[in-house]
Amino acid sequence: MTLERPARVLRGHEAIPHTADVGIRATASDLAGLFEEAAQAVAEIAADVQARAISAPESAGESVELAAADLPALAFAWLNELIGLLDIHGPLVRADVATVEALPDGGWRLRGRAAFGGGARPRLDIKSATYHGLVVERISGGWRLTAYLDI
Amino acid sequence: MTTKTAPVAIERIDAVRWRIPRGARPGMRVEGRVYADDRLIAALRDDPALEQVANVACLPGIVGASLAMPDVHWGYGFPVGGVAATRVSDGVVSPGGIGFDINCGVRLLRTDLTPADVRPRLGKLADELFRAVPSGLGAHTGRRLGRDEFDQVLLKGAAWAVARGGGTPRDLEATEEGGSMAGADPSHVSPRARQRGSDQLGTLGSGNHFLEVQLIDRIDDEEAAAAFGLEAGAVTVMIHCGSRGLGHQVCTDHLAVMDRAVRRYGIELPDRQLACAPLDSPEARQYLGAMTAAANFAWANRQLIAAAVRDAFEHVFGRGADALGIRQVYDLSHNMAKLERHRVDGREMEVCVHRKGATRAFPAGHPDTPAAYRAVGQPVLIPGDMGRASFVAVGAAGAMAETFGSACHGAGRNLSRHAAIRALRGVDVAGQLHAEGIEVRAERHDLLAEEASLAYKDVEAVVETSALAGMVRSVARLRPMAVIKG
Repeated sequence: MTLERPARVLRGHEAIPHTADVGIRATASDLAGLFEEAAQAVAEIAADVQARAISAPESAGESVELAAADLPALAFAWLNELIGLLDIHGPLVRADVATVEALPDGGWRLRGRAAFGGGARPRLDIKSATYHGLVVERISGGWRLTAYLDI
Repeated sequence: MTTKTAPVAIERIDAVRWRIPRGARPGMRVEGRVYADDRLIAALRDDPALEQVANVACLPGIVGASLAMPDVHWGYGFPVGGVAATRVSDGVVSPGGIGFDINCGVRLLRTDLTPADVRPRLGKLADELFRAVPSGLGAHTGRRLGRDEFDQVLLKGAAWAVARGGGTPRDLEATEEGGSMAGADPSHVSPRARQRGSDQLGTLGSGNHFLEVQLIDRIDDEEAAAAFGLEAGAVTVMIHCGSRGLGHQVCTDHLAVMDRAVRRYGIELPDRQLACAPLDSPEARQYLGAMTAAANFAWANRQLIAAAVRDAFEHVFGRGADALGIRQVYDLSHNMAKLERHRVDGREMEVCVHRKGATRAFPAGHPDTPAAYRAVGQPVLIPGDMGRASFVAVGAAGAMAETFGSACHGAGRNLSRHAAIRALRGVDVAGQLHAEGIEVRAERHDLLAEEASLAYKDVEAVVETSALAGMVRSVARLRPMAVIKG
């Protein structure tokens, strides 16, 4: 008899080592979730936000719409949008990605929202997400994003 | 992935020089050259920095060699501690070869004070410096400048601050480029970059940025030390920071532009972070104009921090900065691209020298060395780590002969932030430093482990190697007395 196990929801993120800076690796079953997980990783490096990440209401923050030639470029744009805004407004407290969609010209577009501020304790200045080692790839059951952030 | 490729082949040339042959990686246009003694090369064997040196050698128009200074370590695109010169005639500029923290650099102030003066008030001085210089993530001053005034900062740099009472003209003479580099174009600094930097002038930031009160405990070169105003037993102040969010955003914005330009110009690169454009292209001109504006912002930033340091000393010691002998020794960039003339294969040419975690190290007689120092050479400021030492060196002739007038910018990291935290779990880093007589003030004491001594290479080995290679001569060693961290 074969036991049927429920499909595991693929979703998570972790920091990965780099000599001077910090790497992040996010996984999710779809691209929108992947970009949300990457946002959460950025939020946790910049501030003590684990408990606060879901504290902002869904309607909070500002809408974000980005387009890029390929998925790594879209990830570069998304992460740097968040990094720039959290430098101005304070810790990232919510990031929702509504859609990540392929465009007819071969490019990609992201639509979402991000909320900043609140009382989370800042940790580190993130200068930027880099293209170095930046990969968005299909894996079994979903997607994986790897990126290095300049600290 | 960078970390999974085969190790780069490396050949010993002599005791402090190593070669990465042109054939080590496809597309290398020149060889790689690494400056390291046996101690330093051992730490590099498994470091992706060597692969990055080989990758940089693939840049169009690169001349001489792709260079790694003795403090080199894994960066992004370029290694930290990397130097690359590209021909102006047919070469490229790569924003990643300057880095996100444009004109990150070091400023050194000397004083007439001795430990006998400072020790009894060291705690109070550390408190006052911590209060006077905003630090940490998102450090802001609350001051916001109007657009026209902000443009003046981007155009005039440190001179803008001096004109408003934040220092003296003597400070500008003791600053690379006089603290104000020509060619800034504020129109290519984006609204987002302006917004990030708008109230960050005069702030230190976080990460490896710091402000230290130091003691000169050894003089290695009496003549240069005398020229720089340094004496054994005197107290100095070192400031390490850059262009804050403004510079970070300038690099981010223009890197995205270069990423698209790479395809347009048909440039093939082994790492997307090396994105670049021909020096005669609109993309390059716009980047260099914005980079120069960000560099000027960084000089204004360090100028204002130095003014706050002077105020703090005056407050604690009850005497004016002049009476305390506070005078700027030098301010030196270590993340910058410069158009310079150098001899390559026996022929003088104009090149764009990318220094990513590397400084100028011009020798005696060089016209770009301040007149007061021209007889001995340009000061080279080499911060170490907060538990051991930093160094003042002076540029030497070997730098012009081999490294496009460049040298190391610090100790260089040895451990990742995670590894440092793991190694020091349960250790009170500030307490340990306090027990050694070093006062520490930090926004986040729990993050000090990331910047602890064991995370860095031994700066003494880095300076010795730089000296053996003929890039610099050591002038003075500085021991930390008080450390202010973000």
